[in-house]
Amino acid sequence: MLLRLWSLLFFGASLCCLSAVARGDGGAVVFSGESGPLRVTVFVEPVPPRAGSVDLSLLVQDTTSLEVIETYTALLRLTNTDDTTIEEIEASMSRAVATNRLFQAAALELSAGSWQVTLDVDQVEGDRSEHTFIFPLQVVPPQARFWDVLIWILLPAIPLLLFLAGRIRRVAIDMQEPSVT
Amino acid sequence: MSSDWQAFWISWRFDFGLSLLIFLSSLIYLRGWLRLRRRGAGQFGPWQLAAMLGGLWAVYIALQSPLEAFSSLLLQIHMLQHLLLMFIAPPLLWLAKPELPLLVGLPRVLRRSVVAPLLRDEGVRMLTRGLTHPVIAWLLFVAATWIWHLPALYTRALTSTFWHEAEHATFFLAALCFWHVVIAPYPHTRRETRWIVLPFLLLAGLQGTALSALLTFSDRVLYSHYLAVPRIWNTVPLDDQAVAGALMWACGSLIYLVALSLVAVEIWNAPQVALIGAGAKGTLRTGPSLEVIRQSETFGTRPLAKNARWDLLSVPGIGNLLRQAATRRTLQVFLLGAAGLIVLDGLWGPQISPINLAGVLPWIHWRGVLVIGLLVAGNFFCLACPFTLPRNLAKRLLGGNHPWPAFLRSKWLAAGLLVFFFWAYEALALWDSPWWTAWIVVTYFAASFAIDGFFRGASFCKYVCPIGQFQFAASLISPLQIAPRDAQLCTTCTTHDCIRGGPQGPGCQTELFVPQKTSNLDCTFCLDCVRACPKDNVGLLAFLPASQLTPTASGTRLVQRNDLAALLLVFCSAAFVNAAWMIAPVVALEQALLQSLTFFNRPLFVGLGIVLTALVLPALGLLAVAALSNTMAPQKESVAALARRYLPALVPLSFALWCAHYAFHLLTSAGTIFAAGNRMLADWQFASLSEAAAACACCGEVAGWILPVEILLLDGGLCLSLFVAYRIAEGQSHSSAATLRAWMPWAVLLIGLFAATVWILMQPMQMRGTLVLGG
Repeated sequence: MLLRLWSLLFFGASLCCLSAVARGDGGAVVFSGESGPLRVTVFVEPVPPRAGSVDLSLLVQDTTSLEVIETYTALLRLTNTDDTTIEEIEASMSRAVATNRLFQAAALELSAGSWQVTLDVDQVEGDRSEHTFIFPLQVVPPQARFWDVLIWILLPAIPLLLFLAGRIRRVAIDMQEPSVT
Repeated sequence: MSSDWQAFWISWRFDFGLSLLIFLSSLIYLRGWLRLRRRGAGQFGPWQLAAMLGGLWAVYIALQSPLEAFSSLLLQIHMLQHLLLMFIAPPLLWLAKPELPLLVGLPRVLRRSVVAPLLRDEGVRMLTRGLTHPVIAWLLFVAATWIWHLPALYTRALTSTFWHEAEHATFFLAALCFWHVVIAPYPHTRRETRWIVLPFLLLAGLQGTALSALLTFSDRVLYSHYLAVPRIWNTVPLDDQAVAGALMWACGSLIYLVALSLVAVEIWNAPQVALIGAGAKGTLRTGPSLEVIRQSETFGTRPLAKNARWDLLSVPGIGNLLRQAATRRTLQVFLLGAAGLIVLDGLWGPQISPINLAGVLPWIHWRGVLVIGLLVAGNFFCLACPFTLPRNLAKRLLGGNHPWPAFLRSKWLAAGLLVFFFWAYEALALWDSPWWTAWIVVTYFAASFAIDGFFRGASFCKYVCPIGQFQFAASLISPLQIAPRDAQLCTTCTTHDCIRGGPQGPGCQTELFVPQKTSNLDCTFCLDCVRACPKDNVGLLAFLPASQLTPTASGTRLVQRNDLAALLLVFCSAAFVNAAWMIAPVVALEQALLQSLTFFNRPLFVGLGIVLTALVLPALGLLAVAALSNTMAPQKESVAALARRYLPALVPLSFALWCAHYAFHLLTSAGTIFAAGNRMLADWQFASLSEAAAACACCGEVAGWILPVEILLLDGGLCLSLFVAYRIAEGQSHSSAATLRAWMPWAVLLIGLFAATVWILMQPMQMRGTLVLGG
């Protein structure tokens, strides 16, 4: 029986490990705007953005044809509007960081509060013009650690419930079968 | 090819966990498939292998290919992903008849000690039977399909990684249950009449058609997310939705139709007896899991010999090395050197704990390595203990032949010293006092030298040493244990060299007789018995962790002796007290109480606190729970005896807390050894002082994975504690119902303690004595 308990634990832990490492794409549109020939859409993940690591990704399209433009450089500047003592964050976006290679992305470490994002998009080809987009980004406080580890805390519930189900079934069987004395 | 398409084709993701899982599954299946083929199992042809690899590849494509990267931009691509997870991968996987090859392909140890017991478990069997029941499987499949297509949930999944993964996992698992009913893969005999599969598929097809039609013909975009995202490849959201619906309709219907036709042909060709569930009365009465195990055993896997436990001493290289007395001596000399450094630096170095070897080596590194060693192996610190190194010299100088006094032949003194040690740790802030730490080491050497020099055997280890008692209690969880390789051979032994000693070496210094030994209690892993046995019949064998605590294994010592109960009580309660005293809320409470109770000085306050929290309250708590357990299911013993009997159930959870606590310090402050070592070398003019090393060595950012690992340790501890309590209750009760009733109060207590430990770990740590720079 101890073997079974160990095996339940082992499998539960393995499943948890897998779910913990699994990641998916996603994110929500946080800004969409046009300037000259460019239409930009900025995605943010997580939703809502929480203090800590925040992923910003950018898709640039032609305003009229909606064709995706891939040759440009993008620079992000973030200023905390709540606390001016916090230094401005500057980061260039890169296609290598993005999973979807139509996008450019940057991973930033942000604290909670209101941020103003200035996005400079510099077209490498065509009119070689520089376009600036400004939009706000509200970063909420980080989730309580409890929620991050809830899955680990609840893990014993799986073997415990399976174990209990087996025991209760045994009780039911024993009650149906008259005891032999 | 346009640049957009180029970008599409290179938008692959790499998820290490998923890739590893798919790779290992393929490898295990392939190994099992080859083994079964070699044994002439005709059911496993190339088609099964191709189906398995195809199924796994479909999962990989769905989750790692550009489909994943583009699923949040286009609904039709998201739909393709879902179709792969629900209609392609699951049927292919079941067509590969995967259960038997996967079981046979596993390493033997894993198969026998993990998977087979899991499949035999009554709860797991109930679960698998339930999930593959046609009605439940159908409802799960339909519910998963419809619930996740509700706009609110679908949109949620598109914007959240967690919910996106949950959506895919639900689809895949529900589809596995669904297609299991349709395919009923070998070695399952079809449980229900096969006719039921026809309406099963037909009804599933109907609901799929309804959902597809809803998507295809809707005049508005159902999922607002796709309105907000940029339009790529000139796709209009409403058209995208219609195409997604059509895809679902066409692919789903086609696959349902193929499955329906194949099942209809099978029913047409099958003899009548197979269709009315003959299998249910035959092989599958015991449940599908047991059938898989039975089949795996019939395919020629070698049965495990009854006494064939894994033996560390049989491992080439390590085994021989451990057997040598010189190995122990070398380890002891190494630790003696470390102890010497601790004494030197503690007495003459700066009294700043984090940059003093006496402040970091024992309290960060030694404790961390100690508990990890106990968790994964056994009591190896006692093997290498430097305090016993001068034992022979002491015996020569002081005689060493006196018997240990009869009135002290118990654990009372040792348990008392352990309490004293915990008091000193808190009251004198030992972790923050290199000077006190150095004196403890010196005192330890002196006490060991005097006691072992005057008395017979290893009296110091067995009756006095508080560290040893901690190790003995903790090693009740350890997987390794000194035990006879062949118990039968011991019955013919007349010399008993393992305890008495013989020409090949001294016997057990703590007077343990190997054939009668049931646990690691009092075993110092010195391996004298191994060397003394003339028949080489003593090994360091692997047992399941915590098996020593179950009533059959632990014999009567653990449950009948009050002194052992006291030792275990201190070990368990001190785990909580020691960990709680380092968190901010408890430190604040202590300071508030000290301020209000002005007549107490701190050492006295700590003393009363330790007595109350490590002895009185836990003992009263145990008695109360024992009384409740006895009320719910009357047992054969008094309440005090019951409390003593159930006490071992607390050991796994407590040990898990010790591990989590000490491992936390080791993992967060391991670098202090370099800072302190550098400082000491600089003091002795052997190196230049590097301030940077000290600044980076401790109080760094706590890595995100540390808390989950700590909680995982506690999870294991809780499960083992619950299990041990159940086994004890089983031995005390006359029926399964009474067992459950007797167990219930203990289960509630253990879950409550688990909650308390999690709360402790989640509190901000009062990193007293570890801060070097900054503030």
